[in-house]
Amino acid sequence: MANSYNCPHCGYVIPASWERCPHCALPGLFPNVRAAERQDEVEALDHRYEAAMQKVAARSCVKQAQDFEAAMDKSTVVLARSENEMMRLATDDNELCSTYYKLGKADVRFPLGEHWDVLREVADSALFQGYREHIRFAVLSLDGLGVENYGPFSLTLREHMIAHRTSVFEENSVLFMYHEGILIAEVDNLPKGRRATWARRGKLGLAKLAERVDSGTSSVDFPGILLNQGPTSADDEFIEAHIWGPISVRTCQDPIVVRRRNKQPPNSILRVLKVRLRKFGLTLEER
Amino acid sequence: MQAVISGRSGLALVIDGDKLSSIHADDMAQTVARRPGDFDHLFGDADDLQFLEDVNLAQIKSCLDIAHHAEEALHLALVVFDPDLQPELRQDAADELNILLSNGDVARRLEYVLYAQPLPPSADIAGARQCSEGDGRSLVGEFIRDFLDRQEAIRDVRLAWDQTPLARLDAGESRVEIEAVLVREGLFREWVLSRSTGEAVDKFVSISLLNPQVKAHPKRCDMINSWAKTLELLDCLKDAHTAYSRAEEHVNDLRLEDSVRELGEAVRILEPCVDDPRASDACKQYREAADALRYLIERRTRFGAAESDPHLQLKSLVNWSPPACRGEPYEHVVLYRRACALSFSELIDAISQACPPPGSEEWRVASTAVGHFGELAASEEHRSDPDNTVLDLARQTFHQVAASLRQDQHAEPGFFAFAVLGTLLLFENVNPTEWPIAHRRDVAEYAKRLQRAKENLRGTVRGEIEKAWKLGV
Repeated sequence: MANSYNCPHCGYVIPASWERCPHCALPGLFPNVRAAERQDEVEALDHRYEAAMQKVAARSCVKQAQDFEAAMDKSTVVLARSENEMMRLATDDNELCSTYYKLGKADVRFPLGEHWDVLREVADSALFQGYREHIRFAVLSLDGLGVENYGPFSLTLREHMIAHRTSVFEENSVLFMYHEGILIAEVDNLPKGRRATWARRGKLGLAKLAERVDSGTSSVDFPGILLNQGPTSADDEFIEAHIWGPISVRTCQDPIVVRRRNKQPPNSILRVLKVRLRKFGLTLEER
Repeated sequence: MQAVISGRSGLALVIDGDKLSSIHADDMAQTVARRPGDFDHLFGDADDLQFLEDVNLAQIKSCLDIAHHAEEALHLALVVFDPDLQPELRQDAADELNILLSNGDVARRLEYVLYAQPLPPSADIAGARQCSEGDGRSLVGEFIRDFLDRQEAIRDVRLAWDQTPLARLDAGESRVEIEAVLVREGLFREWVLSRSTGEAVDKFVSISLLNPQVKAHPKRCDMINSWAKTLELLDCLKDAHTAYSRAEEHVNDLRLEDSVRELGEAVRILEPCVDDPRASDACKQYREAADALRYLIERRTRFGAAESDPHLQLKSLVNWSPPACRGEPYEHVVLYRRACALSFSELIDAISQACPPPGSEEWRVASTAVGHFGELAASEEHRSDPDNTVLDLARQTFHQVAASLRQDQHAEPGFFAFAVLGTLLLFENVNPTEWPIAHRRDVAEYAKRLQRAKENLRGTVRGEIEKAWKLGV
């Protein structure tokens, strides 16, 4: 990924991670979206897509592949959250709660020492050089469910509030770097065609998942093809969504899905959550 | 083993060599294998991460259990205070909170957060008391009672923290970051508890300085000391202000000696903190007020204020106005102004009673006094008179004198001149756009008179009054 680009207004150089031109202050695109819009990324994804289409044509399942791509074009971004995080999210405008919820915040700074190296590579990911702290991680979904292993509440985000600031990536981005053995120094040599803008998520989905579509595939299979909920986290497969900037309860669309578990949170917490979400026009749907 | 724990996310990510796994608060028996890439998805926006080093699985589970339940307890406690929720729901939350509070660690962690900020005005205290009463709610009842009883201490500790100078903080850390450490380490709670039990500041400073998260950072130690000094200073300022309020009451009752004594007390309270600009400013203010009152007492004594003869009374009161005559600095001395205003109204009463004949000595001193009070009001009061108190006083005086004129034809022109001049001098320096609408009609009239007075009056105030007297303004 190039570390800079030229401002379309004044023509001077803007560092890739900046949100606006340092010279003329023209607001820029979100850096993750800008990275996905690069010509070489677009072309590489187009090549992957065409190759995938040729393969499905050879397997006589073009119709199913097109249906899958059309479904992908309507896929949504889903975040997984715990009930405690949900309670905080649902009290955005409550003075009483915000007074206390803001206290005791800790930064994600891994302690020194080699014990933490395994996690430090997360923070050092080359994919979001200079703006990682702004990125929220979610997955694409076709049934409103997020990755079960990540949290019981699935929050679908409203398209018009995130489409302009969201990019999608082939898989879990940290694992991708890990699998590909990519170092920070090689940031400019990342394999191309693995990320896409929001509008091109269908192409990325087909380029990645065409092999799983065959002549017997129907629309009921699509959610499972896109998001494979594995028995363990290691078996989960998904297309990762990167959303630049904050998310509030007003970014969420109805309904919020909660999965039943062995041990439920205190009854009143769920009831209060329902009451508070109702204020924002949201309901809880238990599945 | 190492672990990252978040009560908010309800999970612990365990690092054992190069293997990762997670434990979830709702199913502690199960361990889930993880990959580094799961980190962002698992913790999301959680900002309560704790990093544990060299711990075993049992310790990790115990920490997670406390962190998770403390987070739940915080939600439930806030539900109990939330006026927007139904009473039944709040009572159920109180029942569930009661269960969580049976774990002393959870109760303490909840206090770490709640004791760091006073309740906002929107909290329903009466409702919370009601919800937390009754059978089976003894723990939550006691918890809420203690929390409410300690609100004043919580307010004091918070105020002191908010006023602790930023310059003392470590350049690499923001106030918010250090505050978060203090909250998480329970130091706000320690200070509140110590204060509630009346312990000396030194004791909880010592406790705080021994905390590993403070001890290891010299700048944080400095900040703790600075926080303690601020708390002591605020205590002194509060006590001094109480003494000052009593001094004000004594002035209102004309017990000036008692007022001076209270001001002396206020100064004495502030002396240990006088190096701090906030204390030294207040100290200076109280000293000046005491000096001004002493001066007034001296004058009053000298001229026999207790004298029943209206002429002597008038003379005495006139001599209460030396600061106005000399133009001494007094703008910061509220008491002083109040005493002057008091003597002003007494002066008007005394003039009314004495009815000095025009041109007499009494008449001259009275006219001088009124003129001086007019100057006083014109030069100083209007600048610190947002509610137009002085303006109202002048207006009332005008009407009082105007009323007395109608009753006493002999005194009419002189009193009228006094009042008009004092008032006009005031109005000359007041921006008309700042006047209340109710005054504008009067103001227009005064302005007209001012114009006439200006055309006719020359020289000193006394000369102007005399001319005005002759012209019968």
